[in-house]
Amino acid sequence: MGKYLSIINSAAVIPNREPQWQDEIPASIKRRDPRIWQMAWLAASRALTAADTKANSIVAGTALGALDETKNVLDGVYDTGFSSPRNFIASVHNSMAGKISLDFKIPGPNLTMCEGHNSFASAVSAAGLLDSSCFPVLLIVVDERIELLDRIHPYMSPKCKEYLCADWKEAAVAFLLGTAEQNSNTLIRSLGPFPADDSDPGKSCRKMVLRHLKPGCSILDNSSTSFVKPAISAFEWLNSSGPNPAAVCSYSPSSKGAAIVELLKK
Amino acid sequence: MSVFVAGMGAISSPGTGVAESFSAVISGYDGISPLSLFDSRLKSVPLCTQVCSIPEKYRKYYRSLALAMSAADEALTVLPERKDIRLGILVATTVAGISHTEKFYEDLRKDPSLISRSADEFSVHEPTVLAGELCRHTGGCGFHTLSTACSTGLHIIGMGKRYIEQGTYDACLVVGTDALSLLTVRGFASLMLLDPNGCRPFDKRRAGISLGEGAGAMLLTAENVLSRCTRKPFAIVSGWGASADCYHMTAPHPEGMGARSAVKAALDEARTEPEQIDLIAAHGTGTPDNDKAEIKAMQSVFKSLPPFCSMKRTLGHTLAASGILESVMAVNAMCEQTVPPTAGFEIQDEEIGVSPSKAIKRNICSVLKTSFGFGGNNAAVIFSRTAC
Repeated sequence: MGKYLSIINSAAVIPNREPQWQDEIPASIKRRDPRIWQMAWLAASRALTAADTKANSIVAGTALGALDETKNVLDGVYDTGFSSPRNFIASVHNSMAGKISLDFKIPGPNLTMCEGHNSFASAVSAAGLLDSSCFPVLLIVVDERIELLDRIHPYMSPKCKEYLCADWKEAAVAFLLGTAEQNSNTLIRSLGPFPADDSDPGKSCRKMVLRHLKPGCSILDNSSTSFVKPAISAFEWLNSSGPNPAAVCSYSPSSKGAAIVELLKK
Repeated sequence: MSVFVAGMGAISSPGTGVAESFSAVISGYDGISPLSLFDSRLKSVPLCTQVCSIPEKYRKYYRSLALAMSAADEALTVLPERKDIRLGILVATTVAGISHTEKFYEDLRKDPSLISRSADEFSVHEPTVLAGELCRHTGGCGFHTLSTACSTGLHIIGMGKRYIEQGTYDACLVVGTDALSLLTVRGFASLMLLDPNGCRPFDKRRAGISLGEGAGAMLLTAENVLSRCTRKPFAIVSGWGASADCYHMTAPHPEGMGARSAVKAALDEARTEPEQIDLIAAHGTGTPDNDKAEIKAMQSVFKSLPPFCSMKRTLGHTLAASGILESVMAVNAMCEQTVPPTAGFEIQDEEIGVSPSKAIKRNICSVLKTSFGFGGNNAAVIFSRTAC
């Protein structure tokens, strides 16, 4: 069972809701860095600026990382026999977290969890493992929508299609986390990922909620339409007067695992 | 509370299983050979270490998963009855199923109609698929997938330790796995980091890494699980340290500042003084910058450097697997009270000023293992003997 952490601040970059989001990106970053890095960078910048504090560690959650860069490396090899070192560096799953630690001078642990739709829950769980000197922890959940996946999607089997629904979102969502002792107004913890009943993942989640979470916990989101949706749901809950306590459930059809993030306002 | 290394598993180029792999490490075996698994499309065939003996029963899986399953099953043999034990599965991987999906993508580029027949194959690109498969294979009750480039394997050992201390799991199976892929071979080639003569860690002539593939696994347990194990534990995981350089995306901090703080954090958690470390199983990739920065970091922590070694010429640089695979070898070295040699090392570099140890017998009570990755990502883990 994950331990409770506090949420100091949160921020999001959801491109289809704010088409001008790149206006906030410094020109040098906009020119050089891949789009997914830019999304993660801006979410981090917003969360840290609003909180007016520095983070000591980073935990990132991403399903596919900078997939477009992986494709670019391979396209280079297949098309011209040349692969760009810049593309390769960016293709590494922890490149976003590395870039943020570099730009925002975050010297502590730097972990990237790659858990498909459960990446948010897995990142919260990993943050709960860090000792108190590592806080505040900047938690970033990020995934991008790329043309290749849109092309593949219509041909996937119905089961596989679930993991890339046609309306899948791209976003970067940042949460600045403290220990529960530092700030106990809004708490978060996660459970899982655990192997779920493939035929009814929702039932698996409900069972875990009943067994482990606070009585009366409302399930906010039980769908798995995109990798970043669970983090977006949590962000929206933080900025609304939704049910309290609440739980965001996620299910990854590819790993057949489910996870729960519990949210609690005091 | 203490967290124990109760079981270990390995599969590497020189051998299937811990015993074969360790025998190669301890004899200073040169595991490098020309890449033959696929065509790298480079002018000269790169040198690497490749696994040629994946056991038959695992060959139906894609390569990273097959390697992971082989190492995991070996590590779990010490705990045949796992009923009522909350087993967490923690996987370290950088490329997961890409050796499979990059072929799918190449085929797709040649013949777009293939998309209707094999689109589902793309799902193995997600690293979490590997952990989910392993979790069901082993009867785990939870799983986690980490990807922090070459430091991943050590971080996952530290995380497994913390999950047990936190009470989330009674035992954690930590597995590091990576298969050779076109992406990594061409990626490191583009950075001009592949040594055309094979890696020569800490040697004056060193010119880069030799990629490799393999998997390592450790079964970590709380003390109350030990009575269910069929043998005494190999070691205690005493400390984990993690840090970021905040210096450069690919180059290490030249003074090894980030590496130093990771090692110091591991020593603090282990409540161990530097002079109590009897062996450093270094990252020792063989790149000019890494080896120099690593020794600088160690010299800033240790008044007098204990014997150190690199296993990269024998096992290859197995990326996310390297931290666990080399930890398995380091713990074995502690059990055998033998410092492994550094294959590929011949000539001391004056800029480094020290040489890795030859194979020697030595009383080893504590081992420091280090790993460093892209993004300035540093990890250190300390293992201690159960009785010293």
